[in-house]
Amino acid sequence: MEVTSMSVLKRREVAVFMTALAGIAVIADYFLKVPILNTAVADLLRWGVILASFMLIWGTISMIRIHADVIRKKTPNQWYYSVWLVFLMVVFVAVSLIQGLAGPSSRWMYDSIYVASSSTYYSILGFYMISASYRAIRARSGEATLLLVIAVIIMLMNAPIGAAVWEGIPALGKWIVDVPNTAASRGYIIGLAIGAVILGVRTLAGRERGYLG
Amino acid sequence: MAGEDAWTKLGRIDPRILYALLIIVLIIPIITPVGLPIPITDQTRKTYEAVEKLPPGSVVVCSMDTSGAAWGENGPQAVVVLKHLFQKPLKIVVVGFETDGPMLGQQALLQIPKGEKKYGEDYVNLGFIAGGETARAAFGRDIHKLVSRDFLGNPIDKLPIMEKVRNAEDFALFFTFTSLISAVEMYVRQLHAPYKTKVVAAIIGLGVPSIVPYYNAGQVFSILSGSLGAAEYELLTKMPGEGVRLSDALSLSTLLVVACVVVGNVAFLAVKKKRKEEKR
Repeated sequence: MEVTSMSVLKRREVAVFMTALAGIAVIADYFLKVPILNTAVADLLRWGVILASFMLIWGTISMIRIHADVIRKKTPNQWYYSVWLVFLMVVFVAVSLIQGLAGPSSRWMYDSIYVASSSTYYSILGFYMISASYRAIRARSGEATLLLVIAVIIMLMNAPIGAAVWEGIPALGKWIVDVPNTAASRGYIIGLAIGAVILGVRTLAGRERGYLG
Repeated sequence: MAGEDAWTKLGRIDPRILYALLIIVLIIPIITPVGLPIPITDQTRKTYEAVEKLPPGSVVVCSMDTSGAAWGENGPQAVVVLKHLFQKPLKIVVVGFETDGPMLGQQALLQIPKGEKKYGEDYVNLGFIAGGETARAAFGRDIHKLVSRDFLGNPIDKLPIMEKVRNAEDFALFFTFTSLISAVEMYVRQLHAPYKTKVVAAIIGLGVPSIVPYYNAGQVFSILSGSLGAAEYELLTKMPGEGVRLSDALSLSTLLVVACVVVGNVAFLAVKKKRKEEKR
């Protein structure tokens, strides 16, 4: 079988080699001051940003394709939401392209539609929380009781009324956050970091290829 | 027996009553402020004092890494910090590494009095930079290679402020207004570790416990905690605003949540006791 230049470029080993090369260069750049290496890595980072910008465009196209498909098939209970989404996307993009992102119409649409609706959506969590605080946070066992007591202290610490309820709340809450919380957090942060290093080394060595798809 | 039935009923209270109570405790203090005292935390004071002590001409970056959903908490923080920065002879760079950031940054900029500060000379909005951690690393290394135009479409090489701002070594202070713990961690890795940049995490209240380990290790310079942090900063700068206005609502809603936990558990334990007695 003839090996063409195209098939060589498609080989997974090439992708693994490129990844390893880029990864080693970026790591070396972190520790070494070598002008040629530093310049090359600066360019590599810029390429990363340019690629990420293209990925946003690609994501938009992909989303439009998916929703266009839903509209075309008239998927029950869904297609009219897709129409609304595509319509708003087109309007937002058109207005922003015509006026610029700082233009009055794009600002109005963003502040009055997007920010207002996403804030509303997020604030609905408050109603779930109040219901959960009544029904779910129960002293069913010793551990659950401990969790409940700590949750109450931290909630009170994060509101001005905590000190008014009991002046020791802020100090106690701070101790919980600074000592047991920090100790536990450091444990998982260090664990995550070690995991990331191992994953990085495996990726650079070509042993981890999940990212190739 | 009648009392025990009451406990059972209390344990199964209609959630709509709780929702109504929540709406009431949120609305009343906004209409009629209670004026509960707001203690100032060391972290907020440290942030305020750091801004106060900055030499004239220092560059402060405000990265809007937030979203419309979190703007309720990050908005008051961004507004009061920007107000304070605009009162000082400082250079202010607004940027965003999350898609919503620059629009929200522009919204905050529109809300504050600019004094004699001129766009392009004293402050700039660089807009959105895609790429997550890679973009943050590239921003710290060389802004001019990364960004060619600002949020308004001006070439940044023609903006006088940008002559002084080239990389992270030029940042006297770096604020991130964010709901994302990962955003703060990225700045720790990409700005603090290589350039020793002072990173201030203005994060929503929920994220604070996750950032405290970095603060205690000196990797995060200080923390502004949610709308309460904004309220504290407003009091320090003597510019009461949205944060102070929301703090009473925060207090009363917290008290309601605690009351619900207590009442819910009392009812739960009473019903449990009743069932045990019935089994005997």
